[in-house]
Amino acid sequence: MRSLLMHNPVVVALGWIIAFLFFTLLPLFVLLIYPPPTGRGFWLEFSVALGFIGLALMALQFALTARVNRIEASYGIDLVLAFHRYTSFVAFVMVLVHPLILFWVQPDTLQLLNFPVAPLRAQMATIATIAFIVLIITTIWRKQLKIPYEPWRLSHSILSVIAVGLGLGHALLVGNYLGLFWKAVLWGAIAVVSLWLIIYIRLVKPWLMTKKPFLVEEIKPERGDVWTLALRPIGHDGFRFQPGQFAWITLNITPFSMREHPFSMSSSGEHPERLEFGIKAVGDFTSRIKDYKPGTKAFLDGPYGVFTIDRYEDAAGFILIAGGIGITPLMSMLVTAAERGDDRPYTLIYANKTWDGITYREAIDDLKKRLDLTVIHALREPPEDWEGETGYVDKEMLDRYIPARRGTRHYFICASPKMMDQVELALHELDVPVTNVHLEHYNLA
Amino acid sequence: MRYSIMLQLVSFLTLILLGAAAFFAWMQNRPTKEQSFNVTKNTELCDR
Repeated sequence: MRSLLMHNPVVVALGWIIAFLFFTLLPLFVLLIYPPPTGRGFWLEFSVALGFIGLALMALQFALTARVNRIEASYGIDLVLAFHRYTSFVAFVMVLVHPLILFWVQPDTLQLLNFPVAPLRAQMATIATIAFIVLIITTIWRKQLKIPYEPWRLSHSILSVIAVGLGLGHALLVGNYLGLFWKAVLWGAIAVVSLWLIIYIRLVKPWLMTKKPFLVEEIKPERGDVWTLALRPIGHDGFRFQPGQFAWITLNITPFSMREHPFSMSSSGEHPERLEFGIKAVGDFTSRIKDYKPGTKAFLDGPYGVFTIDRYEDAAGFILIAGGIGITPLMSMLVTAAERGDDRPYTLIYANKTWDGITYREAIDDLKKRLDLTVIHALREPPEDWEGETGYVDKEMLDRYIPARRGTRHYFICASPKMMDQVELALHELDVPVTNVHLEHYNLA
Repeated sequence: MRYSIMLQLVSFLTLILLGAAAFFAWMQNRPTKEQSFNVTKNTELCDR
């Protein structure tokens, strides 16, 4: 019975929501065990509450982004990161409204903004708020501000540590609740756990990665401006992964440098001795991939992700839908299935701009000989003699290829966000059960 | 669609958090027994 409950998706989701609310509200409600301070008024206490909740939400982000497998195993990293973005924004608004209410209720507190003469607790709050504002601006408008991924990620980590660290300092130093034992214990515990998560991600994990290095074995060009990066483990067995999963790669520099990038494996999960990644040259790092030489040292953190056929052993078959470089994790699924002698039917619907730009085109053709695989290419700019599908993958096109008994298959979509939204909606309108549809964002940054 | 559901979930959770903040503020400002007693006593004295 207990096991049944633990595997019920509604119970699991409710469990996470209750845990989220509990950790966010606990530091606030622990204050209720003490006698209330007199004469402070509703709005002042409401402002305090917003500050406490905002800070707890900020501290919780360290856990959400610490690549905790248990959290990711339930929903996948892209949904966890979406939750991180949305709840961080909520925390941001609360943290901003917190002093605004204070200034409105007690206008004399505006003096706290006079930084040189303000008390330490106010100085801490000011710096933390500025760090938070810069962090939000550089994240939401990173592309418009033309901030490359690596410096952004470094600044994101530093700014979040400043914002949360000084925010915690501010919460502990504010006089009204100072000296309340359980308040100090709780915020102290939050500070210690946050610090441990930072140390774990920035020091412990990189140190563990240095113990299991990889070497670049090959970098070969593929169609569609994509490069296959092949890595070989040195002095260890590499790692097994479920086809569709991804890993964080650090190339040619120490893993302590915090300059890692997430990429899906494109090779078979049955071959840990050679891991391949399909990388499209679009960004600052990916455009440099071709310049690395065989023998370059690499470090991997992984595998991660729940976007894998291995979780659905009972499925009668799979429908894989890829857009451009989104083929990478799906290619890994097909190669692994072929290696395993999987006799279930696979359908690949693969959208590209041109016939010549279809990544892994020949390899996919070869897989048809080893697998019960139907491939449908959809081209936006087809050649003149093209008789196949054209345009975007829409409801009508999907209806032609998915089986009448929709629920007998599991559907994996990896494409641009716009295409994923359209395909997901189309599948929903075609009565495909929501629980059978799985999506992977290929751009986590 | 999943992101839209996630956004709705976060909106719902935000409402709960705001409700909790308001509840906290009300709890901290609720009249204690002693205050109620004093208010009642003062009112009675004034009435006389």
